[in-house]
Amino acid sequence: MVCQLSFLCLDSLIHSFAGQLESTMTLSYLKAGRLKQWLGRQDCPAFLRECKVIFDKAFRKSSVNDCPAASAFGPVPEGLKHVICGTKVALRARHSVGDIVYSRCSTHVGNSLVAFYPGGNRSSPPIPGSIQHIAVYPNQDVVYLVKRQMPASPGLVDPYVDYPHFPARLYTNALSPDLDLVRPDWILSHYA
Amino acid sequence: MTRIQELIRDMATPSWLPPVPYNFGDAAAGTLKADEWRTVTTVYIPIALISLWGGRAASHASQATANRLKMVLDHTMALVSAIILACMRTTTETRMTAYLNYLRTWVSELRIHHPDVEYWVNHHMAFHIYDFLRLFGPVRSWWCFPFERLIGQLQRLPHNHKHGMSIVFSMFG
Repeated sequence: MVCQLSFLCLDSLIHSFAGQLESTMTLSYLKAGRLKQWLGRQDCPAFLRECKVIFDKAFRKSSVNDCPAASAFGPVPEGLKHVICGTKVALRARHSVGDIVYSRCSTHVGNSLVAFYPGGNRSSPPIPGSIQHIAVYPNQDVVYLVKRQMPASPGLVDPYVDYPHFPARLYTNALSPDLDLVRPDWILSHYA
Repeated sequence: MTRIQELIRDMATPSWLPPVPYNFGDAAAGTLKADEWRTVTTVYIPIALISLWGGRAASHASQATANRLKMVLDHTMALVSAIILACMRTTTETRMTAYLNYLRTWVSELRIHHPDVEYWVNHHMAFHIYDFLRLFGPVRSWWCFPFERLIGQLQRLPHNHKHGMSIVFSMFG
């Protein structure tokens, strides 16, 4: 309702004070914004969402989710055989889910830090960790191999617990030596 | 301020978080935009202040100083919590009530912790955000950042201060 009122007010305003250029730009901007908002809604019809996929493919420069070339697949590295099942896998630097880009820590430390639900169990609290590798199976399934952030020493007082609406907790800088296999939909968000 | 600048420089953040000038607080950093202020207020300042004043009373000169700084920290965190709750992508009755309570705490104790500060009309207007959250939903549905971006695009266009004649004069000017 507010958007509609704003749109009507702005529409009449630009026709009163601005010329054709300003009018065209403003209306195009508003219509594009409203279309984008509509495409992002859960109740947007499926065929419109299909159009969005086509628009994204047509107008975005490239996707970080492009399928790796066949030559990129090779034997599973020795250090990852205990967590990755299968014989062939491709390792990549980054992967995007929606508009969010996740990277391995050697590519971008900030984009590698994620809070995830172990085993996809959303009833348990999320665990912070750093993505060490991003692996793609030949069937295009993507998994992240994550080292958990080590918890703070038991005797240490966490100063953040006094502020329940400030989403921060105390951890050490050290990472667990073990790797967790994490699927993209198990991730809650990035953390800093 | 040094602690905040260290955090801005050293903290590993995801690429979608808007960057903030490393020299925040210096005159050379210029004026921050609203979105940059939001990042500073909800990420860097609270972490810096909590690391300095929260839960480490032994590092202060005296217990009285520690208590005083902890009260200032609690007061500041009331505002930080209110901003975080107001900017969430979804809102609930609990979040709206918590926002109002945090704002009441912060405004009512403002002159206690900062006696030299005067009340501004913005302090009053912030209470109406609670009404708007209740009436219109999350702030992202009705805040003015999209229009600010549009204004920025229009301002960057070459023009001659004559509305509606920009194309003609930029073509022949």
